[in-house]
Amino acid sequence: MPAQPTQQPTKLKPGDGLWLALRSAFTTAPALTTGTALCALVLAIEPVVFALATAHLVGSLPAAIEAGGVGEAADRVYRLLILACALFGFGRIIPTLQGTLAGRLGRRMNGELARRVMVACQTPVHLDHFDDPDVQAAISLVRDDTTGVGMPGTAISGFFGVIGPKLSGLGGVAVLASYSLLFGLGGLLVYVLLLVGMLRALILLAGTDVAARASFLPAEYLRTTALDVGPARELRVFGLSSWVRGRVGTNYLAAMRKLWRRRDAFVLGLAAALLVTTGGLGALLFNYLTREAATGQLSLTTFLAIFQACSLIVSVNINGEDLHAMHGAASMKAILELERLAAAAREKDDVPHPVALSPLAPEREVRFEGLRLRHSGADHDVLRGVDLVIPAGQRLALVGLNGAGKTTLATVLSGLRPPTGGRVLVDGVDLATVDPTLWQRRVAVLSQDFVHYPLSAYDNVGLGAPELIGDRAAVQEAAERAGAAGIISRLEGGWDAVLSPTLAGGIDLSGGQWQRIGLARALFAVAGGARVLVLDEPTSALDVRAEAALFRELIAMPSLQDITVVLISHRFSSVRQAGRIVVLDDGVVTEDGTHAELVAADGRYASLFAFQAALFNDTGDTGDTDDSGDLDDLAVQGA
Amino acid sequence: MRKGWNALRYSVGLVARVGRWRAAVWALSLILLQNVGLLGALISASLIDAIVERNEPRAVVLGISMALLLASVQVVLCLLLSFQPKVEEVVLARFDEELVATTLALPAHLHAAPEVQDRLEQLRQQRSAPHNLTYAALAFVSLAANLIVSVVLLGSFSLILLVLPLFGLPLIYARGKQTRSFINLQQEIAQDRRLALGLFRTSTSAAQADEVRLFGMGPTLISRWQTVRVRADHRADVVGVQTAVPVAAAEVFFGLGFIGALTLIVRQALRGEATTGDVLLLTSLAASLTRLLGGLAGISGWLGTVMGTVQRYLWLRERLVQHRAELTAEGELVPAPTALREGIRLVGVTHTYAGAERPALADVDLHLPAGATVALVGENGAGKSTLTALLLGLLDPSEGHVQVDDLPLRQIDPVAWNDATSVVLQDHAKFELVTQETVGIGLVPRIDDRPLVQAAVSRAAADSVVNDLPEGLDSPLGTSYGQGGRDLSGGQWQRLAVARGLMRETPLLLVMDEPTAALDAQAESELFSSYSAAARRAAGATGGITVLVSHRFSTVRSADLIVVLDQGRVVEQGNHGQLMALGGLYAELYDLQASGYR
Repeated sequence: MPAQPTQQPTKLKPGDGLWLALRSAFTTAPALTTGTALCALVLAIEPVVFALATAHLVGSLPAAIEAGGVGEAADRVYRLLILACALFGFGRIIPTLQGTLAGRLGRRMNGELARRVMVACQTPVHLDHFDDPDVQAAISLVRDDTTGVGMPGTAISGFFGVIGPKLSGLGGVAVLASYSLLFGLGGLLVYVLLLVGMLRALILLAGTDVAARASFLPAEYLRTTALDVGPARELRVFGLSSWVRGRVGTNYLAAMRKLWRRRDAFVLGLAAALLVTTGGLGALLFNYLTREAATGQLSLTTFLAIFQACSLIVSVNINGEDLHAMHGAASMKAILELERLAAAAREKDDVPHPVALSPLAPEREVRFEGLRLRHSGADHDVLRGVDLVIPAGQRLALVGLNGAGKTTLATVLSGLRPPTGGRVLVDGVDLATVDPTLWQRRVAVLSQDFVHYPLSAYDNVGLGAPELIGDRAAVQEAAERAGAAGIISRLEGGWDAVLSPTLAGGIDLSGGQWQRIGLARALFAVAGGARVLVLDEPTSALDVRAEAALFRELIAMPSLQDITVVLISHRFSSVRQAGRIVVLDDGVVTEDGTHAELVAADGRYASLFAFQAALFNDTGDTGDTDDSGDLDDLAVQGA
Repeated sequence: MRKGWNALRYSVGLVARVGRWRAAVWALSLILLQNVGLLGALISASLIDAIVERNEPRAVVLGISMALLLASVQVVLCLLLSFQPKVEEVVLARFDEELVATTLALPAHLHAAPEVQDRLEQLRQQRSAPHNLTYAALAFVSLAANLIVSVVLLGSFSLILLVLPLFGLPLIYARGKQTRSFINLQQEIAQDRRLALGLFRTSTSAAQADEVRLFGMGPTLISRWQTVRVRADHRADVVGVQTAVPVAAAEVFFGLGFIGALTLIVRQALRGEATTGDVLLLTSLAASLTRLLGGLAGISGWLGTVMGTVQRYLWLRERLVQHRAELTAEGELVPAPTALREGIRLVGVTHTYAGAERPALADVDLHLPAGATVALVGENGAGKSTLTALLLGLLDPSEGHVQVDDLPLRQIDPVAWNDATSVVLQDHAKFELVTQETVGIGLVPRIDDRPLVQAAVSRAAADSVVNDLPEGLDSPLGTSYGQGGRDLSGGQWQRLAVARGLMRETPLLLVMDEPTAALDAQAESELFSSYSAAARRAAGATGGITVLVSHRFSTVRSADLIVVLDQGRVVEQGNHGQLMALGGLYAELYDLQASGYR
């Protein structure tokens, strides 16, 4: 399939995607889908047959009544009565059976598709995949609720529910046509007008989500935010109540009004057309039929059959269920698109003949050569030619101002983003020739926004090395090293305590406690074979005592002796303990050496360190914020 | 019962705000549609009789009326396609407004209380409840009316036919049980569903994609998810079958009753005791009983659920009324002062959170002088955040009181006090709006004042953040609802939060809680130098107080007054020199941090 540029999976077209969803239903659960479809078919045919049966039954009555309720005419009535009763009794079970099967099918399909979405999100090796707006759009369509109305499974289960009356209507047209081709044509006209017109109106209705997105989604976001506990204090201090109210109410309705006008205009037009066709054609037809029937030109049975067929045609009812079917069909397209993009990304990332790395690599060094990185869509490089050699087993601190590129360098080091220029060499092997997933597992990162899993404390540590997760002793050891064991033992439930306040019996931890858990997870990854440990601001939520102790303890840890450790931090009291310090400034390495060397060199590091140190210098009056703006003055004072 | 009635009255009131005649038209068309089948059955019966009696004029009139009835149903249905969602959308928007207003009028600690959170969680998921309650009530009334008329017509023909509704009783029971089972099921698997959704989101999130790859946890996450998901889906499958079997059986049972009734009617007709039209009418009446009974059973289950949801909101509103009454119990509220003369004083303040064993703050007496910069220092859990919340009026102390000059804070109108204060929090909100709004909501009346917002950004040393954005202050921020904004780093978000806190130029009280945790030293110093000039201006103009919470002693030391908290108590206070001379906790922590720089 050729790649299509920037699709809009949110745009609704009837039938579009429905076919794909149906196909997916058949491949996911062939028996269940066939059963549901058969039930739907029976439900479509049953009303037509029942209508004809009652027409014949009631039509045969006058003759039987006249005959005094006995004889051939009465026998015919009884035979028809038995047929109608059998049909009615049989028809009782089908809707319940159909509902049960359809619900099952919907769940099965939604589950399978949600799994496919997860796989598709994990297939691409590199993070750039998620920068693609098409990927973001496709994910946002299925992310909110993997069981609800937006999913193809729900759509298919709804589709089999709503298709019945539509097919019955077509049956009505057929009945009309069997009496007269002209009647059939008239019936078909009304049927098509109803079906197409109302579906079109419904799509216009669904436009709520697409056309008014610009006002609808911010309103929804603000409503959720306003009810959340997180921002509760700021919302109150800033007195945002009436502003938010205006956004979720008045502004939202003002935007909706435009849509309403379009909807109203269409619906009024359609109503007029329906009144003229259904009403006009119906009145003409019934005028003719009743005259014929009342004068005996037309049998009562025929009259009733035509009458019932007309009722079936106008019972083609369009409602919210049809809308759900269309919504879900749209998300089917999004899922397939997501899988296509993931497969394409995977193909791009595939290394044709991967070079094997030693399981202990890096044994010598990691080398950056002229490393450049530019984010897709950006107009400048974040990394502008980084040259750096990190010997294996070194403790390296990376410092620099906000935005200097420290965290980006860490993502390149860990193989999450391929450089857009230059190379990364591990023991002399270019990372571009190594299977990226293998290298990624060699690097353990404690990032600033590490994940808080809604799982047990045990899983939150153990997921650092999933293949070792059964090893309780190793998990315990990692927690002890990270200073998390005490926190966990004090939890109600200990290791089994669920760390999510939204789950029953779940517990929320403070930022400092979470940071210990995150560190334990990263150390457990080292136990599982990671050879490089990156710590990105690991002490930001810890208090003074904890901060002062943490890095010193980590450096001394015997299990980390051959591990390469990269510390990213603003806190120079921690940084100075590293054997080597590298200063990154605007995407390039500007200084490199030990603390003593860099202070002696009197460059950027010296001035930054002196600046922080001077704030603690009791002889200087640098505590006065008036002077502290001038960095160079302070550097002199500090040195 | 009374509560249910209140919920219904509230919901109908909300629907009426769509416009009286609109609401009436909406209600009438719904009732009409529910009863049109009955009307149609009556007309067709007379029509058949007229045909059998060869009464041509009567047959033609009835035939044309029938055609027009069918057409008008289509027209009403078609109009409702636009009208129905409009009513629903308006009611949704109005209900959202009320929900937000009520929630935000509650004090922050009540908002966070579990009993409020539980209710908000349910309300968030069932925002259509007031609309649905009105709709369900209307449907219930019209179905009941339809049922009564049908039963009366059946009974007037033959008393034996009155037995037929009894055949529907098992159906009512089975359907009601089915509805209840599904509601219970939702509650039973809610936990699994939430967990599954959490794992699903982690596996598909761009922000968490790095960790999933580095730790190679993808397959583990998927298998965990699958276990939970399969368990929940399996439960739903089982309940689906368990409840379907009785419903199907009850349907068949009713079918037997119907077959009996039909046979009875036909026999009577053959005996000449009923016309052909009667047979048609009674057949359709009897057949519609199953729809009516099943519908009533389903709707009563639904009615109970949505009524419960609306009641949850009314509970919230009552809680607010109660809170307001508590506020004004000690006399009328007064406006906030325009300037501070002496300062803010805490007198014998103790605060214990609900359910906590020991107080977060114990017996605190403290004077924050007007115009001063006050630093709060202490280890995690010392009570710093509780103290700032008390000062901001977000919490009411369980003992003692806060005094603004000589006025108790409790007597000051909370809204007015909010207007007089400002805040920068460590766990600040990431408002994903247009940048100008993200900053500007710090002072809503001036949100569109570009120079003012720009000035606040400069005071917060956040110019570089804004300049990096593709469209400056007009850039949308964040990606969580597909607004296509930039996702900022922690430090960048924090600087915008500072700018927001500095929108108010001369607040009486500004609380800055770790405003620089994610910033580098240079950015921190830029912020404090630009900010302290502003603070001094505020102090000069209104005697405004700045309260700074920080772990960074380099910043803390320059404060006019440093307050050291330990386990909820004030253990030391004074300026940097005094506290160092004292040689206590402050001096110890300061030396610990300073030693890293020697």
